[in-house]
Amino acid sequence: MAEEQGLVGFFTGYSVAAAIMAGPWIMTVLTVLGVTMLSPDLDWFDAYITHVYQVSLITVGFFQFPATRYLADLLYKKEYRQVFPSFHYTLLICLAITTAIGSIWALTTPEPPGLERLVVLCLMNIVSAQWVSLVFLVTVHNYRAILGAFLLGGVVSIFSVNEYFGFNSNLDVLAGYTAGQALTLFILVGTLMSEYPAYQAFDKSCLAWLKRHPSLPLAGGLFYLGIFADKFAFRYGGWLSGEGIMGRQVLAPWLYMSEPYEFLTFLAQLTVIPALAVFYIRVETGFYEVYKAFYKGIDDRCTLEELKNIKQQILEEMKSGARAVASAQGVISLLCFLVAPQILPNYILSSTNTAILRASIVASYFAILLLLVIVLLLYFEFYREACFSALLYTVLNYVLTVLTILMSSDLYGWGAAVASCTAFLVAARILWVRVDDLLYQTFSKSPVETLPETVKGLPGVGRYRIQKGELSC
Amino acid sequence: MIDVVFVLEGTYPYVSGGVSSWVQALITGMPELTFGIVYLSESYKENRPLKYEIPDNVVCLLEVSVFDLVSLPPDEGADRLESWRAFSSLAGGLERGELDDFEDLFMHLGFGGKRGATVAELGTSRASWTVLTEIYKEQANETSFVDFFWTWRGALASFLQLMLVKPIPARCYHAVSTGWAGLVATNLRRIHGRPMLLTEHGIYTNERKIEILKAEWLSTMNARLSLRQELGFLRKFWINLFLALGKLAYEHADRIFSLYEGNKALQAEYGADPATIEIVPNGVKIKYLEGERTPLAQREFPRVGFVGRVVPIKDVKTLILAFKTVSATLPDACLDILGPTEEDEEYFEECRALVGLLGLGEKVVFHGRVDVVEWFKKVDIQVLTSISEGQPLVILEGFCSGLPCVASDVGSCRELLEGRTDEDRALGSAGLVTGIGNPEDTAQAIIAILQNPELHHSMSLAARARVKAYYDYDEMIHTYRSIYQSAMESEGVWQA
Repeated sequence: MAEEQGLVGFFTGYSVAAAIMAGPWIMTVLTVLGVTMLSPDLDWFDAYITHVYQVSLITVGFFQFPATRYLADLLYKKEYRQVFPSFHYTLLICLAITTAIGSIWALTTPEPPGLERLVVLCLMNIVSAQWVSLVFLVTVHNYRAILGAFLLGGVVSIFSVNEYFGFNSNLDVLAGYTAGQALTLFILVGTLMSEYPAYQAFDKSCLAWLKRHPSLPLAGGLFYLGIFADKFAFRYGGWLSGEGIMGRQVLAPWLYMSEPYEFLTFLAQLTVIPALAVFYIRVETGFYEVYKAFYKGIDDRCTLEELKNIKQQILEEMKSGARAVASAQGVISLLCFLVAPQILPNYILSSTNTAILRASIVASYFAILLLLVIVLLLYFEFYREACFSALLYTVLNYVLTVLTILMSSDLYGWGAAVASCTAFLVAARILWVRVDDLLYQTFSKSPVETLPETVKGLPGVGRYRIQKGELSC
Repeated sequence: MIDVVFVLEGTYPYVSGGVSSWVQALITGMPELTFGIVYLSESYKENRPLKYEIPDNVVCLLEVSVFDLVSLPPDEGADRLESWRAFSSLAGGLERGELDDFEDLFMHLGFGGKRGATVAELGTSRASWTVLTEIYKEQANETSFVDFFWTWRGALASFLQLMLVKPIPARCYHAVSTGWAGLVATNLRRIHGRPMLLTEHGIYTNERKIEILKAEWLSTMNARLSLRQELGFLRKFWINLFLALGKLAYEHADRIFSLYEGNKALQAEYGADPATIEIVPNGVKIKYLEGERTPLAQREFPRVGFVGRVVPIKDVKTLILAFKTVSATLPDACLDILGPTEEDEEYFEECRALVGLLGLGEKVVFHGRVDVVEWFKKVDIQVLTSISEGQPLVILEGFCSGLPCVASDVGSCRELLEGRTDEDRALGSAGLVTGIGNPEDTAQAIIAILQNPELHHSMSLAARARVKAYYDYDEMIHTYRSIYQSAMESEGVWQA
């Protein structure tokens, strides 16, 4: 669309791409911002929302890539009947984990009131279920239904913050928000059911990829953990700074907040939408074609020379795609960096907060590039490399953030920026080297499957079917 | 210690057939010796049904899969680079059809104590990739790379795997073919320094060559090549691989045995020293099988019999096509196909379909596994249309019952039917030899015998006389007993 219809088509194409890639996320952010702005004094609500999204994203993150991989296999084999049972099973596991985490918190914290804790637990499960649904719904390409679900749910959530109805306590707002998100989930699951009718309850084999490639779930889980590692350092690192961390609050055991840092990084993350849009367009139009051509070349029994030529085209496409994503996102990020003070709401505007926002814009810029590199690593099934990149990001983000907390409040946010930049550069280098070596990686690195040696009798290959007495010289 | 360890590929005790019956005969014929069996299969299968009752003097049966790989840890302190170098030399050798330095392979890839890498490591290493891509560039750069790669990896992995078969100690080793079985026996000989005997019923290298040249899957693989006017590299590769394995076994076997002159010549052609080849024909239990026959003229209707497995190598389709012609001349004739059909069910179904297509429905009967002694009395002529044979026991068993035979000109069929020496030929002809895969030739030979009761009778007498004179089971057992005694009593063939 962008290539064929001039300037209008260009913007339309990228807008659609952005809506597809980041729609649910933008809707969620806008809903939370809407609720927060309508009732700015609800500290507890902010803390609930932050924790709920973090727990659910990290939990689902561990299952996102294995489920996506399994789903791709199902669709390739046209086993559509297994899609919904697979969704069921993944959902069950994710909800079991989030329920366990939420229950530990709910049972060990002295406050808030029990009913509020129960609603938080429900919300945590609903949000987790939304992410799991999205993993499976991406294959449907019914983006209107997905965006509509989040829009409707968002409207209900925001509408619940209405003093006219007397909805103004933490519990009221929380319950209203939860109802809105439940509506979103209901529509998402309904859409999924209409696309993939269920013929059995569960498909347990859907998580076989967890066992087969343990680095695949780790790549997803660790990346989301990495996204929040700096927040954790700010939130739980009270002991690090003698003077205390700016804006840090302890609401209850396990329920810490570190505003404005968390709010500013949250805001900065909104700036990366262009990168997602450009990436989507590049992958759909150029990269996927050469990527497919490589594997088709293998199927079509190409010679080594022919395969090398296609691999070279992949490298060229990656290079030009990276340039397009980095420059498009770079312009937006630079713009936001320069006008950061104008972005901030008046009540939060200060020189320190401006610096944090600028650092967070840089951090988000590299973090999104890192995510895209990880996605490409997964495309080529370089699971261990993807996992390593995510782990590096998580560790660096936490360690460097701790260092900046120890050094000076002027450096807040720059730990995350350096971490994401370093992790991105390392991951990009790994990707380039691996793809350059794609033929070896595809052929020779495909494992030679071996059976365990039978320990009975003499060492060596073979299985005794008859053995009378010891065999000795 | 076990007296004799047989190394067998795809035969005894899990697949019935001539070689398997021969092995069973040797084992049961020498109850005073203990035997071990190394059975090479495609893949491991629990509870694989036995086709023979295992005699009590078999003390060990080891199944080894050629394709299911087992990873053994490398030897401590071994130099990985040396193993990779040996691997490179192995790849080059297989490609050329020559394995020059088995000792080097044994030391660095086998049980020689200097194995520096596992099968999996060798298969996935950068070094193996370099070796394979270099060979590809030099020899096959127009061949589909995926086919080249998996062919090479599979063959090399199987070779490495079979270098590490459990080293069962024995007084002597007896391989009943070259190929993978020959490799295992060569390796066992090297480990324990005990003699290796090699008996070939069919010539393995030759049989594989025929199979490879006929293989449709290789044609499919090379479909692109025909467009590029390229020779079939993969065919060449497989042929060279089995040629190399054949030469390796011939070079290391302390004694080589052949069933007949034709095979001896082929063994020499494929690399065996003619001076080391001895002929020991198959033998059958004459008293057990012989019995009176009803003369052909007194039969209600003529019966043609086929005894064997319904598999492509037996070319049962040619027989069915030939019988269509026979049936036109002798409308009462019927064809009894006597043998297991489950080994290649797809082929069996194709044969059945052919019978239906030719309108022979009631005249051709697949009986499955039967008591052949009884059936030899019922049928009037035995037909064998195989595209490859060694010395078919069924012909000799039929001879015991005075059953003339029509057989394709493969293996020792001509020697069996017409005689090997002048003295043997003087006994007369026991049947007619026909062209391979030639239904018309086969049909005319069957008709010629069935329409002439006198010819049938004379052939019947010649058959009984020949089997008694030259193919006696007791004589064969006696010969192998002395071969084993001599091997077991030898001081060893290799000293560390």
